[in-house]
Amino acid sequence: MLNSSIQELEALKVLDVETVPDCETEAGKAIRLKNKLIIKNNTQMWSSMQLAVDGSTTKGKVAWLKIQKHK
Amino acid sequence: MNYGTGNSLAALAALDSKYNSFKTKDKQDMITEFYMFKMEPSQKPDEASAQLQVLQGKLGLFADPHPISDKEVGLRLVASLPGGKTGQLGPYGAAKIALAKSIAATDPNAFNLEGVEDELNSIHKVLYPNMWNDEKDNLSTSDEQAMMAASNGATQKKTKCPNCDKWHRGQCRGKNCKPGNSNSNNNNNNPNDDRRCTHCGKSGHLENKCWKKKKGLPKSGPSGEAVNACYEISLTCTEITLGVAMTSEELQTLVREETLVDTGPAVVTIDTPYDITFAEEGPCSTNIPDLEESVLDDDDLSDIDDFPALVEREFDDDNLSVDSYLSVFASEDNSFFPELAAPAITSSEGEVATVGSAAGTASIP
Repeated sequence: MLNSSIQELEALKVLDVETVPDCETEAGKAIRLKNKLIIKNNTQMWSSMQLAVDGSTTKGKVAWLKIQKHK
Repeated sequence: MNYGTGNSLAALAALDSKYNSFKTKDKQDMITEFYMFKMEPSQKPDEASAQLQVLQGKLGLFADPHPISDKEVGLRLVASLPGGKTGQLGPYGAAKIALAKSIAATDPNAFNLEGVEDELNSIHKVLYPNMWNDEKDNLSTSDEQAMMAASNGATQKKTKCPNCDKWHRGQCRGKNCKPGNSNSNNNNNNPNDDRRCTHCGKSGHLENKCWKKKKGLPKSGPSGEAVNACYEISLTCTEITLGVAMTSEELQTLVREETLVDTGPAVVTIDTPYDITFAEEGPCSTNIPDLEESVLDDDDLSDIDDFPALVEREFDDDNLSVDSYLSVFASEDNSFFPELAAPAITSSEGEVATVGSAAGTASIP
């Protein structure tokens, strides 16, 4: 399990991990793949949270709004 | 469906701060619980202090801990002591005020919480000695004895005492039932006491404790059967009760018997060699007929010097009757038995009375 923080995720949101540079070194490739995994995990967790929140109730709507603030 | 992508960790943190607030709330509860703590009147001070110290430790373990010093715990412990009614000091009295002042004056670093506990425990021992006696007993007795005591206590239930009319366990320790008190009325519980109740005939109690007597049940003999129940009631109860319990004939009989008891026996038996018994049918009378006992006494007969010579007479056995026999004596001028020759034997109609030695009749030699 990869550990990350809120600030790291915020930074990775604008980072392109899909494009492979021409002269990518092995270290750069490892960092890129690591960030790619973090983003992938974040996307899965986000999707799970979206599905888990029940927006039909008052508390669910509040939770939904709380989550959407961090989109 | 594209939900987009956001910062899942930030969203989780937001949700956690919104909904998962039990830690903050629990902390506030603990702080409230600590400062609102009140010791139960029967609770030991060291136990109350332990509760406060647990809260103190939990509050110190939070991420944003709420530190509580031992001095605060001591002050809180003294403040939580049970108070009395409005305007009264309560069971701990002036010690509560003195301890609070001494704790407040103590340096927080030099404060000894155990010393305060000991002082409060010593007061508690005086106030509630039974709680501390149990602890001593448990320490001094073996496990087996403790188990036996526990089992006895579990099976022993409170019952209503017939002696003191109170609900309690075990032997009655009322003022009339002290063990070893020889003057008590309950000393007939002694198994060696063979005395029996004179009312119901049972052992184990006396007549003054007899529940049958208290209930008005009839008197019974030693074997339990009712003995002359109606008569017993007649001697103790009113006429109204008699009318209910007895027939009119029985009532008359009892009235007569009571009268006889007061005036003396109507049936008088005189101890003579002749076994003469006089039965009175009418009202009681003490006029016992004079029997002229000297006449019938054999010893007195020896005093008679001039006893007439017996004249031999020839009687025909076939015609012999008492009438003719007595008529001989009656016809004699100097008869020595005028009373016996009196008409008690012979009726005016000339009928011959039965003369014999049966009881109730006069037997003539």
